[in-house]
Amino acid sequence: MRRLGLGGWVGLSLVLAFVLIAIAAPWLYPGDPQDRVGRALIWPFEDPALPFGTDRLGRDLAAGIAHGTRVSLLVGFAAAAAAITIGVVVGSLAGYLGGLIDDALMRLTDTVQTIPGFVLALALVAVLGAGVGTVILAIAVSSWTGTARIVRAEVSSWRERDLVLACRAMGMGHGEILFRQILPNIAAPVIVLASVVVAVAILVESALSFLGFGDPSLISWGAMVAEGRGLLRRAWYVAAVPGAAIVVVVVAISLAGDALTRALDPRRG
Amino acid sequence: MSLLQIDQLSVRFGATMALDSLSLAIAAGETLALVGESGSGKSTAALAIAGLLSHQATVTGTIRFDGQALTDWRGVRQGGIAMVFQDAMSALNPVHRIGAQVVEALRLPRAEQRVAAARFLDQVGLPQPERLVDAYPHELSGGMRQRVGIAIAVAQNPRLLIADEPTTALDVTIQAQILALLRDLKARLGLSLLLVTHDLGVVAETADRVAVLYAGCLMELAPAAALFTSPHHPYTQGLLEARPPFGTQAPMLAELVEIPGQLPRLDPPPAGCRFAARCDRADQRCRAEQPVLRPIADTLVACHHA
Repeated sequence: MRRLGLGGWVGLSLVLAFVLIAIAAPWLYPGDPQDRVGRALIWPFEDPALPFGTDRLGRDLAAGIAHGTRVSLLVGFAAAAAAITIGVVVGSLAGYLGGLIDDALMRLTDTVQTIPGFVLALALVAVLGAGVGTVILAIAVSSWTGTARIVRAEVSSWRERDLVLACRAMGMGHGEILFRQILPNIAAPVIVLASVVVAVAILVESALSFLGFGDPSLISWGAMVAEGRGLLRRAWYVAAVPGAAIVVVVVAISLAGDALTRALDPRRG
Repeated sequence: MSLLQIDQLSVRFGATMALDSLSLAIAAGETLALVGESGSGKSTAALAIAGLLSHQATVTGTIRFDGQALTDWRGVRQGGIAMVFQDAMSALNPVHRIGAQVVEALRLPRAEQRVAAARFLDQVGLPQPERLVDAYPHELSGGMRQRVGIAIAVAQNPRLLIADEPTTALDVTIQAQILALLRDLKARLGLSLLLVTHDLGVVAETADRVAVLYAGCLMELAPAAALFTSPHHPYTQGLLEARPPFGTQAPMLAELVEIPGQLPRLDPPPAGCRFAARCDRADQRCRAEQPVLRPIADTLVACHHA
């Protein structure tokens, strides 16, 4: 944790802040964030109790942002964890085993990759029905391919090193060589990718709920932007506040990912 | 009795005959050098002995180690044979600390690892071993890394150490140090050493006996001194003439005699002597009939004309 740099500290602090808001939302804004709290369209900072103002139906935007953080982060991290897991398993099996298994897995990866990710996610949600679980699944299924390709390339280049021979000469099994010797070496690119996948997953979730494919029972930033869309001329802040939240969290996650890569790599003094 | 006895060992990769009926023995405490150019089969032989051949390889023949036949071509040679690799950077794991890697094979409890690792690092002449156990490979120089590679091999308590081009990736001064270390360890631990190399200088400094391989075949097997003074096989003679002379006034380039041509294709190998196409003494018989090894003085030579 020595050399995070300014961007890294900013990114990590913001991500931590959003995580805290997500955890604390039920205490900060108890009750349903969809409840009316006052007059419609109070501008931000007009009323000190309602720092982000209210929307067309008089709902507190700050409460919506806080509760929406839960959905965005949950979907972002869960979908990214699932996508990275699938990608690492597929990529390392293909890269380590080679041959027919490699061909089969990579053609599968190619096939999934040729389908535009957002369209695939949209189609899955449309077929399976809206819901947090479905959204996570849809994003995971459409975003593991990049990880698989990078992990495969890295693993197959490590596979050729004398390290593998040296480990086998010591009596290590293939599982131990792959998981204890090779995979720790490719943690750096995977962490960068993970941060990108989290950021993209949050964007995709926002886009899905903007289009009305999110979980209807939960408040979400994308749905809030959609709400504000019709009011852009009269009250632009209704769309801009959740929009800004999306931008800030995505940028923060990217900065944190970059900084972690630098901090975790022992080869960079 | 020999520590390692190889009989009629052949290795094929598909149609390619990488190693053809190699028979060799290494005595306890002996250093045997396996010499040849790239593609001669010397590394294949080393990998076969170490049990590290890939699944594409088809192996026939027998290898006996300490009287025991090694039946599994891809099995671990625990407690007997260890290997030192050419490029220690590529054989070490960049994200694990040196100490943990040195004693990896011993499966020690964590508390004992540091002390044991420091002892092995000390044994291969590395300074401040207690500090080095916590270092990562990239913090070490090439020569130090190769010493770590040797420490890893020594930690496995081998009786035969296979060194595959152990000095090729190093500076000349470091090469000499590594060779001295190998000689020293051999004497101290009573090891046998199988040295795979293309560098005749390394051979002259280290080996007791030399096996010259060409295109998968053993061409000449001789005591090191005899090989340098009176090589019998035309290929060995060519190799020795192709060495840059040392300490002469004559310009280097004028002195070098190259062996014309290149290694034959081995899928399948040519009939007759493998070297016939590049040999100035080759005749009809050489191209038709593969020469068998026959003794001349204390040397074995596979040549119709030697």
